[in-house]
Amino acid sequence: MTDKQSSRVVLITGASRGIGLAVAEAFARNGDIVSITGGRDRQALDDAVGRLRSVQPDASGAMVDAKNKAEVDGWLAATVSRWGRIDCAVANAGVINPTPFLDITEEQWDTVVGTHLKGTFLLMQGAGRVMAETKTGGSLITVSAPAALRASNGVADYASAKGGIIALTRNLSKELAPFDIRVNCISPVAETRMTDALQVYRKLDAAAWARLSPGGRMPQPHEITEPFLFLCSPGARFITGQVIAVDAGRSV
Amino acid sequence: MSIEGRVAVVTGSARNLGRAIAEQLAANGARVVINARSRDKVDEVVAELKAKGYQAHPSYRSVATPEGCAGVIADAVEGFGTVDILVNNAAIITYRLIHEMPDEEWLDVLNTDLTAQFRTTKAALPHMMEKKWGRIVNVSANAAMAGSAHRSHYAAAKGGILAFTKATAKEYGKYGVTANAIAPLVQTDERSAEGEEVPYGALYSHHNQTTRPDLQTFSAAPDTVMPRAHPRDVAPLVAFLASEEAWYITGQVISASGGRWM
Repeated sequence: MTDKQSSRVVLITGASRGIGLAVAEAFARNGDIVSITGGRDRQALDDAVGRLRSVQPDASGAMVDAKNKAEVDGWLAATVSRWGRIDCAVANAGVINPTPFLDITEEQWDTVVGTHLKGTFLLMQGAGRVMAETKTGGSLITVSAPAALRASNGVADYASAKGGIIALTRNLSKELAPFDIRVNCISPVAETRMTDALQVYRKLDAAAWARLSPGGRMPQPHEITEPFLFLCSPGARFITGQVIAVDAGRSV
Repeated sequence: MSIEGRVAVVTGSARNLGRAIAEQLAANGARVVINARSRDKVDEVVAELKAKGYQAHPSYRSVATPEGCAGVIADAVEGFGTVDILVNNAAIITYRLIHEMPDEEWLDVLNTDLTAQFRTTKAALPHMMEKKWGRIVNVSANAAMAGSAHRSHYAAAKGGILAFTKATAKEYGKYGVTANAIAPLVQTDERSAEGEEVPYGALYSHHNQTTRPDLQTFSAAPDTVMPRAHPRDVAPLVAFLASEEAWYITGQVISASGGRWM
């Protein structure tokens, strides 16, 4: 049903581990050429690329600070010079550092908001320009979070950025439609280092944390990848500007 | 995306969007119950699906009554032994201004477009709870979020569907049942106020733009981001929401309308 298509060129930021890597693996299993970025941990990125190449030999990766325009543009240029186009891009890179609002420093605000929101802007604009130039259309996916949809706590910087990403998604869905580019947002929940950090910050034991999920457990990243593939498939050709929570109803 | 062998009921599936959804689910391996009041049309769709090697079972009930709604689910149980996927699609519509709308007309539309979804859901849930697996997809419309001139009853029903869907998601998540709503905009045949079937566009030339002079009191500029879709363009979304892999998506409203609601 995901209308398996081989050899699309798919870009995913922040895919050394967690949801980003799981999504990259899902696209690779579909036969797509994936190029990923990691921001901080070279070893983790190399390991991730190794895993992807065992599925799809054309996978590649680059160390890119998602909020650094020169680095993002350099990665995009290298990808386009090799493959000639971009079909899908997923702006997934993010950081979280749960902190009481009254204690958030300017530096942390800039890092967190910059990585999520500016990082999403840079990828959407860079990939959007390529898609518009090659006239091939495409699918852009942004990543938001339950903190943007409902009140959260301890993550004011993160929630603000994730809320901005939703507004950016909606704006782009209108503005890029003439280029046959669809733009949608997924708000996922899965067990990652981010949820580990939140669990520690909120002093919840594993059982209490699991109870927050209607399914009684937090899914692993590989269990929530299908919505990303669906939004990039022909079956989603009339879906744009949507925000889809993949969170077992947590934010409903 | 796996729905192989699942039993799917699609109300109002003899034509238009419902038919496209039923065909998509069948093509993905589901056993489908085709439902509509018109025996001939149901039989035609069932025969067509069977000719393609799919499994289909007829249900001739009207969802306008409690018995009819329960009957659709009973037909699924009779034909295939259970129900796994329920797509609440059947709907009626009329075009009239609020100050001219008789009570009966309002109630008729609320009954078929909203209350029927409650009744079929109520009948299907015990089967899903027993298996701890179920997928409910309710067909809403952009009118639920944006309102819609000349069809306040329809907009109110479609809005009610969103709240009902979220309530269903909350009540039955623990049973492995997801409930989601879609807001499609597709090119379909419509029925005139007199019940006469007319081709798409005869009543409305555009979203919110009527061609009937007597209804031209409000005409929003159509925000045509993409052309209007064919029903088969939207059907994959339903198949996705009905799949095993969409297990963590519930209580969501997804507009498949080419960017008309964002």
